Amino acid sequence: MATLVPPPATTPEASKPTVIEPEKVDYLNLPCPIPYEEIHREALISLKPELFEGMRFDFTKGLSPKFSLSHSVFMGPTEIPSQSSETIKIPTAHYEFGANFIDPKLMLFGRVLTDGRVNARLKCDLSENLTLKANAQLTNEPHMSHGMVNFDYKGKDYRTQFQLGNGALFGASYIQSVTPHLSLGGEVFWAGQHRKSGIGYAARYNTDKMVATGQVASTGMVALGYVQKVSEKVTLASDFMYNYMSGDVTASFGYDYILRQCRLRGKIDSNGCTSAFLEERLSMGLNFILSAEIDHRKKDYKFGFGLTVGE
Amino acid sequence: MASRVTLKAKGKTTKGSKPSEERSTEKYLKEWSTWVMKKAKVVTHYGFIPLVIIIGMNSEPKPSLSQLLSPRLGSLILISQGTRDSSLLESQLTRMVVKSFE
Repeated sequence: MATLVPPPATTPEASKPTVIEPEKVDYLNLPCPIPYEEIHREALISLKPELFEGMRFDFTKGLSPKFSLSHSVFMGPTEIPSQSSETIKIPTAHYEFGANFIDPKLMLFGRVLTDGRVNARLKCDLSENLTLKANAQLTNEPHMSHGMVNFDYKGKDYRTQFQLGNGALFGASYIQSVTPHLSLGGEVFWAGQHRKSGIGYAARYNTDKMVATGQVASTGMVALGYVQKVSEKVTLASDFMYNYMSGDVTASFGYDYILRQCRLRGKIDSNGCTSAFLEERLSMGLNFILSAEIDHRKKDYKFGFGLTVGE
Repeated sequence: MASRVTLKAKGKTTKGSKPSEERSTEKYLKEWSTWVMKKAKVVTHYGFIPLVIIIGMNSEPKPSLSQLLSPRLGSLILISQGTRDSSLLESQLTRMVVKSFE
């Protein structure tokens, strides 16, 4: 659900900034900002649904309110990266078994595929403000596994995060609420294996109805996003990404309709790509998914359908 | 490995003032940490999902072993009895899904 940050508990600013504000902003009592990596959250939720091609069937079985197992079957073509402009697809099928344990203090998420790949996530609250998160993708092939550990500290109106990854990857980020609507943040990272380092800055301005975000990084990425909640059921989002090192520009515009029985997300891109994703609730616990993507430039057409059973 | 070579080169620039034991301690530490990471990777790869299952089976309320292995979904049985006046396609689909789990 595309939920925006709830309105701050402090007194809101007046709508006309040029007029003397009758209510003062309490700068010592600002709300806690959202985490740095989720700064584009609303735009990502609306513009990048999980598009897929082929047939997908997910079955989630809850054994207790905290523990559930999931079985997922997927059959469809997978794209393999090719040097030529043609897309090469090979048909694949796999079964994925997963186990989730969700507790207010500890969350464990594990998925294992038929080819032996394991996807594991852990989130643990070490104390009220300090959280440990770990994430690993493990394969049987040597040197293809990745792991990352994050330590998050949540302060009164700021958040900091420290990241450690395999391949000597270090990262740190900090985000601070500057006014009840605006938060600014920065991050640095250092990748030892690829001998790369970078620094980035981000800003996020949100009100009840809209969210505007901007992010710049020394790797050459500039990302701007704007999401407007037009009504309870309709959200419009737009996104602009520019890489000043390589000169790639992508602009996309999308909509997100959250209706009573279904959720429809569609978007159109400046790369000549349009996509749509529909999730329809057929009855309690049964969802029908349709996904379609047309890439006019590469003449690549993807269609997927599926069923999700369970919460 | 490239990082090991740079570490050794750094040690050598101090004009051999570092005694040889320190260099071997560094090498020993690196080898030991690589060994630990390799074992941790194997343990996580094979043991993470069983660990989640064990933690889940021991949490309150304790689910039984039969619930873990049986394909029946308790809450979804109600669907077969309570199909509202939905369209034909919907009721056919739900009946098909529920039948496959009996």
